[in-house]
Amino acid sequence: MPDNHDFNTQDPELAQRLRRLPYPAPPADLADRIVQFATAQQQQKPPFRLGDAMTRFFAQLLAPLPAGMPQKSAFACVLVMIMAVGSLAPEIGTGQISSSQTAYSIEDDESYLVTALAYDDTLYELEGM
Amino acid sequence: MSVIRITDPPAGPTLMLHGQSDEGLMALVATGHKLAFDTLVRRHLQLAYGTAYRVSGGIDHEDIVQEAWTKVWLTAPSFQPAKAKFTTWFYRILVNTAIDRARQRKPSATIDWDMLPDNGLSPEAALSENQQLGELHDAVRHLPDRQRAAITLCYEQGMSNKQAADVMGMNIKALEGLLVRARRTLKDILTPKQEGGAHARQS
Repeated sequence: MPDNHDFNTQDPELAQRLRRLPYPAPPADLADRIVQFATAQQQQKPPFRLGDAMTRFFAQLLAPLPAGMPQKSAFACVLVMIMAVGSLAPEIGTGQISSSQTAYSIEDDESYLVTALAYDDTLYELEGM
Repeated sequence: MSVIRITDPPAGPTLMLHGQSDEGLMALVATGHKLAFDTLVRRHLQLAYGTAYRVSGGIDHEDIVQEAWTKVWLTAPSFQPAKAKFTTWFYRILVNTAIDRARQRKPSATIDWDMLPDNGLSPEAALSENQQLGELHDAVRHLPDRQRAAITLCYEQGMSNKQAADVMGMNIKALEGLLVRARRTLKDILTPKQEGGAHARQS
């Protein structure tokens, strides 16, 4: 058990005496009873939170971006990807995609060529230049 | 495409579950994984039981522990590890359940002398030691609910003031205020008795 320095430095003597107070041991079968009782109940479904859903959505979109990319460029890339997905969506799954879609995002002196290629319906590749 | 199914595995993977963090187990519990829940319960049962015993003042602590774990099972899908550690989340449920129960009924449990450890003292010294522990136990039992909870978390669980404040849903200053009042109350209760006891032993 870690020491609570906040408490011990305030009143070490009392903390030491409190630490010696005995506790009853749980009955041997308590864990079994708890698990049996609890798991007989129906679990609740998680409440839908728009903020969390949006966070997960953007986290998935940002995952393939190169680390260290400036925030504005990353945001621009996400916008481009959304546009790309939107324009490719009708063809996805039909096997008719043969060309890539490109866009540029310029941040200071850096530029990123974003190439969105559709592989297996879901995979997109980004190339930094 | 391969499909990953999460089901209750046979006894073999139990060892793998023991190596999981609390948060990792909770991710499985949220999918209805009973074995992960069992592992989590056993991992924290001893301290949870002791905390429920102390915070509730010895009232229905077994029921409190069961109720708290049932809430964990039911609401596991809502647990968000990014917002709080499992222990903070769980002890918040446990302490609130214990305080609610203690408010419904006055603490009544007296110390069980069988619980006291054999500390190797002479019978006379052990009697004096046990008497002091019994008085301290009674004093803690009669503290106001939230003071008792603060003392228990900071002492028994060894939590920092920050974590205890998070568990109790208050800021650190408020928690420190509770601890100061609790310590003062305990000293007020104990000092006259122990001075009296010391005089009695000397005479």
